[in-house]
Amino acid sequence: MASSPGASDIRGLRAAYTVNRLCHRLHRDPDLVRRLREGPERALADWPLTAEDRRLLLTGDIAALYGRGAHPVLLVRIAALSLFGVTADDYSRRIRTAGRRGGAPRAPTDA
Amino acid sequence: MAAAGVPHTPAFPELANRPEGTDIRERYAAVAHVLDAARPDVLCVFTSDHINTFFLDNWPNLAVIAADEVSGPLDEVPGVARTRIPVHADLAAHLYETCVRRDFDPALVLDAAVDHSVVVPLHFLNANRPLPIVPIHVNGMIAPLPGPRRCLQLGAAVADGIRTFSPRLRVAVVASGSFSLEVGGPAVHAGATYGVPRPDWAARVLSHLRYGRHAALAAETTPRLLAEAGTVAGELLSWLGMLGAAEGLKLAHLDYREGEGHGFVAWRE
Repeated sequence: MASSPGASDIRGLRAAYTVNRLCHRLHRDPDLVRRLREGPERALADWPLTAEDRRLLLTGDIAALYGRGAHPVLLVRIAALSLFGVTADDYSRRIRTAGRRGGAPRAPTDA
Repeated sequence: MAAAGVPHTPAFPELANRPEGTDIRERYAAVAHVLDAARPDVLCVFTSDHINTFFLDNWPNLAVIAADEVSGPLDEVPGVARTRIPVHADLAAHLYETCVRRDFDPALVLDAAVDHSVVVPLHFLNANRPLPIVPIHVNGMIAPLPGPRRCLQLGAAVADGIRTFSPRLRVAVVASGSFSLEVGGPAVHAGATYGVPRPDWAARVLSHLRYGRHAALAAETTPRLLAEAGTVAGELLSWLGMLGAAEGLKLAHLDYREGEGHGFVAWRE
């Protein structure tokens, strides 16, 4: 029997590649973080994002970004740095409305 | 000759420096005590990069870092400044060669910065007398993950490499990470960006570790279970690598509290 833990989601990771790349850069590029704070729209201008990804980032639509294939370990950096107006509390509320990719159950409704 | 596994929560170093951090400081210190008593020359650190060192442009399922040094943390670890950590590059190269000869094919990495998954365990376990390290990355983040039995076998290959390295070195193996932890996914706790969706699985893992049932643990580590246990629950695989390398050692310390997604464990000869 093949033993490969976890639901593979390579198609999603590829679909959201540029969003994932942007989130990955945040830890390595303090200047990018500064520019995203000063003027998010302008800071994203050079990134080859789809119009939809750009809109979802600028409106902080975390659940939709996750649904499109952003990796949660990367996406959560938006909240850690409070980018696009998303606080940790906002992030928590929004991601909890998303269904888990790969079909595993989401958070119990404890709030 | 000694082995250990601990969590690598980025908030713990700063917490440990505050008065209310006595508890967390002592939990790590109990593990460090077992490692120190074995007087290691090198720490071999099994870790799951959190998509910091590596990215999707070239994602390794396994990697051995054989540079002269690494820098880290490259992500945010409050209270821990970025520094250079020496790597035992010759041992690392030998472990890489041994893995390839034994039909594992890790990526060879000669230039790297590492994240909290390496830096936090070292902050607590390698503070008194900083030892060179050998970081071995086991993918715990991007499915499909390496198979759990394969990770045990990887550890056995690493142990073989340690045994056949000249000069003979005292090498302790360390793993870090959680068994149930959701970071950034839909199963986070309300008001937080993390959660512990399957504390019962963490309890089960610790029970297997208590009784040395490593093969049973690997057999129970299914894709569905890891997916339910959280977005970084694959960190268990780096523990399985450590366990494979530590085969034959005796449990010296096990600290688990019900409801937590992680544990503090150490083994000695």
